[in-house]
Amino acid sequence: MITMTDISHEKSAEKASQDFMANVAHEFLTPLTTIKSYNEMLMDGEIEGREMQKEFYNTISEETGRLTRLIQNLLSISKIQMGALSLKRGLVKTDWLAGDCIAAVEPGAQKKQIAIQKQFPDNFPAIMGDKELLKTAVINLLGNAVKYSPENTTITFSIFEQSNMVYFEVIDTGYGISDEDLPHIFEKFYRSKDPNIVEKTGSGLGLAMTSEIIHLHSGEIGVKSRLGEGSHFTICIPKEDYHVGKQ
Amino acid sequence: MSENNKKVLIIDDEAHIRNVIALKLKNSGYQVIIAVNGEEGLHMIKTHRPDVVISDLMMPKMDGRSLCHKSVELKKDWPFLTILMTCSITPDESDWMEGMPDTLFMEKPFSPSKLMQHIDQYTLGCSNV
Repeated sequence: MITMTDISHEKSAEKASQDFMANVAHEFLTPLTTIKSYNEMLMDGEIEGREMQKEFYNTISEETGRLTRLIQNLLSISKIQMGALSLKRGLVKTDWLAGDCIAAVEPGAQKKQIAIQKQFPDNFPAIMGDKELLKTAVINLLGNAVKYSPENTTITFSIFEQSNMVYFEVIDTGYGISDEDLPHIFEKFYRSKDPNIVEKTGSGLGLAMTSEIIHLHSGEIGVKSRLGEGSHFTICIPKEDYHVGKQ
Repeated sequence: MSENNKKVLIIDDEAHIRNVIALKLKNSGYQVIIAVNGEEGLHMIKTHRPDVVISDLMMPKMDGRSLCHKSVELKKDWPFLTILMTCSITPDESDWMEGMPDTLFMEKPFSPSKLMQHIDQYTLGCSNV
C-alpha cells in the first residue's frame, strides 16, 4: 500500500479543534506529570541510592527536553501553516545534510546496535531550501526508523537523483505501520494504537511537521509499509544546479 | 515499610508515570500490578481483583471512560476504588462520572502524595472518597 501526502482533513472544524486541544493538553501534561511527580519523590527523600536518584534526575531532564521539543514543533508547525515562517533559503549540499542527520541519530542507533547503511552517490546533488528545517525533516525520519526498529537491525539511508528531483529514502525493517494507521500518520497528534508503537514516547507531531516542511520546499513525502515488515519513507525535493561558488 | 495485603492496579501507557506510582505504592507497602492499556487493564481487574485501580483516561485500545463503564458490573461483586487521571475535568466528564460508583478523578499533573492520601483513605475505610 502506498500513501502520498494528501493530508486532507475531513472532520468538521469544531470537532478537529476540540480533538486538537485535547491532544495538546494531553501531550503537554504527560511529561509535566512525570517531571512533577519525580521531583516530588526526590524532594520527599523517597528515592534511595545514588544510582536510582541519578535515574530520576535523568528522567526529569529527558522529559523537560520532550516538552521543549513539543513546544518548538508546535510553534514551527503553527508558523508554517500561518505562512509566518520565514525560510532561510540557501543552497543545501546533500552531503552536508546527510552527515549532520546521521550524526544526530547515531548515538540512539548505537544503543540499540542498529546499523545505518548508507547508499550515497559519488557526486552529491544540491537542493535549494532552509537547511535547518530540511535537517529537522530528515532527522525525524531517521529518528523514527531507530525508535521503531528492534535491536540488531539495519536501517538503509539513500540519496539519489532522478528526473531533476533529489530523493532521500529511509528504509527500516522495524515494526511497520498498519493499513489502518497508514493514511493518518502525517496528521498532527495522530498516534498509532499498535502496542509496539504506543510503548514509545512520541508527540505525534514529528511526521506532521516533516510533511509540512517538505511541502514548503515544493517537495513530496511518501511511505510504503506493512505491519511487521518495516517502513520505507521517501522524500523528494526539486534539484538545484550546483555551481562552485554559488552559495 | 511493612506490606499490607491491598492490591493496586496501575493502567497507563506512559512507562514513567507507571513507574513513579508503582514506587510510591510499594514504598507504602501496597502490592502493585501493572497494565499498559485499557483492554489489558480490564482483563487484570477480572483476574486479579484489585482493591484500587489507577487509570489514565486517554489510553490505547480502551480508554478510561470505557473501562469505567465496563467495571460497573464487576464492582457489584467486589467493590474497588477507581482513580482516573485526566488533563482537566470537563463538564462532560463530571456528568458521566456522577453515575460511577467509587470513582474519582485526579487532574494531571498530580502529586504522588495526594494520590496516596486518596488510596489510604479508601483502603483504610476512614471516610468517603
